[in-house]
Amino acid sequence: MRIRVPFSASIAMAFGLLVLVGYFVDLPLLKALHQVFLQWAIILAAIALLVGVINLFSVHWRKALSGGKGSVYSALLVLALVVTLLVAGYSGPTGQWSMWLFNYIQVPVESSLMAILTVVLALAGMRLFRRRLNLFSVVFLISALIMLIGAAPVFGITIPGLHGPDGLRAVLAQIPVVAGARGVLLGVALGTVATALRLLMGIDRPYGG
Amino acid sequence: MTMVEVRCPMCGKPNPAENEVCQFCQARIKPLIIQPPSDDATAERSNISPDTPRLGKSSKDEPQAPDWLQPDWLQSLRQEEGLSEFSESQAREWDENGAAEPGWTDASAENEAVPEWLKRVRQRRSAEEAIESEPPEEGPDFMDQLRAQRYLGETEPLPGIPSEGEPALPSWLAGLGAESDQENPPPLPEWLKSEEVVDISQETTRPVSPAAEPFPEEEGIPDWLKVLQEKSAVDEGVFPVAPQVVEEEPQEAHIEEEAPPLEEPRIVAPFTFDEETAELLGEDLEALPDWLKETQPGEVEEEAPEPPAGVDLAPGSLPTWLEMMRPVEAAAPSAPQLDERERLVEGSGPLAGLRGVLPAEAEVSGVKKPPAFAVKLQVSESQQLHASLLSDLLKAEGVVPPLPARRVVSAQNLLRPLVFIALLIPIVWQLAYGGIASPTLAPSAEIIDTRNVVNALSGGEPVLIAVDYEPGLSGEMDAAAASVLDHLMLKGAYLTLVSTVPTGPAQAERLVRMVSERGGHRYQSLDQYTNLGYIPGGISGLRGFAEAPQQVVPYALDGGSIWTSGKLSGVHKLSDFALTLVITESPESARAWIEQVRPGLGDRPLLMVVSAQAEPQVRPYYEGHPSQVQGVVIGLAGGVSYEALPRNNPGRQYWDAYSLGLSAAIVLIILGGLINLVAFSASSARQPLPKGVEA
Repeated sequence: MRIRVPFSASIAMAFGLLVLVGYFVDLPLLKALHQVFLQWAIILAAIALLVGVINLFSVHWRKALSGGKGSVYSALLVLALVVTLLVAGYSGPTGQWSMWLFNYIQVPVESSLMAILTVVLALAGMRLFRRRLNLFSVVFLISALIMLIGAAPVFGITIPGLHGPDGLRAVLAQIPVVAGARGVLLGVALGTVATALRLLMGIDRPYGG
Repeated sequence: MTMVEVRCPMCGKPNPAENEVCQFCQARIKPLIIQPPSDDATAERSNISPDTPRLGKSSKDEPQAPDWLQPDWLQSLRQEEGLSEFSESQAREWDENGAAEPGWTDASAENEAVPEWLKRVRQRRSAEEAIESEPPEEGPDFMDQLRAQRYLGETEPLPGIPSEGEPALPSWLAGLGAESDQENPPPLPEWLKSEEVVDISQETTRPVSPAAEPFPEEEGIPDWLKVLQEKSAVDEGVFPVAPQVVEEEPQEAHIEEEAPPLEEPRIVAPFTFDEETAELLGEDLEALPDWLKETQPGEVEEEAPEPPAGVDLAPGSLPTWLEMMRPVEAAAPSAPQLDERERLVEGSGPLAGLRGVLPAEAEVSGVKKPPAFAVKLQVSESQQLHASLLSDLLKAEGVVPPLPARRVVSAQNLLRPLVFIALLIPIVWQLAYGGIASPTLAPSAEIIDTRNVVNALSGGEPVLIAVDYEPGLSGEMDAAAASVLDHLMLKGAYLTLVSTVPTGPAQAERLVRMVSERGGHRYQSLDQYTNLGYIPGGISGLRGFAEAPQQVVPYALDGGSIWTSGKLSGVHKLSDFALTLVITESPESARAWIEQVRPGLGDRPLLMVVSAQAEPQVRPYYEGHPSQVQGVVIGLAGGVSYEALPRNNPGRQYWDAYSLGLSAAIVLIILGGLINLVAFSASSARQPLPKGVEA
């Protein structure tokens, strides 16, 4: 039976209001309800993660059996998932074999991807003026160079006025960067409040309907 | 005996004659009888004598002159067959009784006066009656149906035909006819009486041609009819004569003998009657409707006065715009077009000089080769150019342009490996040989604050450590957090590991083991640290953990109940931890910990080890008053700066190679930027800037 949209919306709004009131009103009942709802959310999120893993497995299982393009990668993913589950189930999440898989497979693979990103970013910095040459690109590249140079000694040499707590890099990081970051954080906060109000008023219904 | 059937006008299937509706399609067979509008009219209808003239059967679609346009004798012709029979019997009665009507000859002289054509009509009628009285012979079905239709036509009223007793005429006119028949029977001529017996309903529909059916003789016409004819003659030309049609015989069109041609019906002006007509009406004049009585006797509608001869009337002048909107006149030739042959004048032979005669020479002899017209279009050069452009466009639509061949060796393909090698060589060289020793940077204020907070810890106090970074960023984060973690181990803190990232528990385990091994701390699980594992739910899970950590994470990752025994037995909330350290590379994760967990820490310090990319998001919380974060260690440089004394931490190991690799990247970016700047300037000098590129 399909739940009607106003009914589900009213449930979502009621739960949201109860949790919100629990932040401002110091009542034992509200706090208890608040904690219960939070625990329900945590459990649902954990189940959603499990469902996601199952869905990932089923999708790639079918794709591996289909024998189409990319089926080899799907088969590899399914194999890795099964092996990891077996190893973690046998030795525990932080057991010896589980940590071996983590230290010698997962960490190197992901670190390699980040290393590729390093090369790509360096190449992009080199070709920035080739793609676009205007005032903002010049300012962007100079700022990036100042932050890079100030992050570490250049060929083992520290530059006075650039490195150190009072250097140009620190000044840029503490004044203009913080100013911009505060503006971003204020905007995020206002946006969060507006989104919360829209959710509580039922205008936005990400839960369906 | 063949059952009388009627075919349905809708579906065409036979039905019994007594059915009112079709038994197959339920369509009505017998027409609905229109009732008279009032009782008075019904009363007047009951007084109508049998010989009251009624409207004959006629089709609804057939144009018919209105009643006032039809003289009485013409209306008599349109009587139904039943009425004709009645008139015939009445005529016989008159013959037997020798009723002398004014203007009529007596019975003895009537036979002599009857014309021959009337005698033939009577003979044919009597022959038909004899045939009808005979029993029907067995014949084909279609003949039975035709007979049935004929019988039905005599007994059943057809649609649009008023049945007997219905007022076929206006009440005043019907009453007039009845009384006039009773008191003064209409002095019908003999030829007209005999015409009444003819079944006019069975005659073929054709326009009544006065020339074809003229009245035989004029001496039989009564005086009043002559008067009407004269009047009609006067009014002729004023009122148009409606085409008169008689009934068309449906199927069996029995050949009628040619009746004598009727005289052209005289058209009487409507609603106009002279004094003689008024006298004929007599008292019935009072029964006329008011609108008709307003027309005084003798008041005849005058014809439009003809313009006097010799007076040239100017034609109506039309406006110019209306004159220009006369396409017919504009397109139509002013002079009538003559046939080609009409214009030809015979030039030879005996018919020379005559126009429109048959040509003496055969047309074949005149055939000659048709003139040759140029096939080439007369187009201008610009039109040819446009046509060629359009043709090229259309051709290009269906042709797939070949993709430029991808060069195996391109500048970009060469540049990528070169950049990789340029970055890799100094790092490897530094790690292998340690050529350049980069000095550590002076610790900043946030690092000093972090160090002071850790130094304030007493031995064995529980410390909550959140490991929220992905394995891919473990190179930077491990080096940045190792020094702080080493400091905590040096202080003997009881480490409680937790993570909001699925890979966080393994990452935390890896970090603790690495630092413990490098620092020689020998930290063991459950004795010096515990791993609570993964907290699902994102921000909600983090909020729930901040309010009730024992409920959200009741057991350790190895399944032990750490909240009831051990170092964490006295911890019920997060503020019971002496210190909370968050190690993350994500600005969102750092903000979530600050916003959701910081209120539950009370006055307990919150420290952070973040990557360089998260610094802008975290620093505002550190620099605020009061600060939400009491100390921050940022990136590898922060981790190296945190160590007051060199320790065997990965940060210090990475620092020289990191510095050298970063220097190489700076050089590459500067060189590449300068080269591209020069190239761009050179290309800009050669050609104008493309659209969208600002100088």
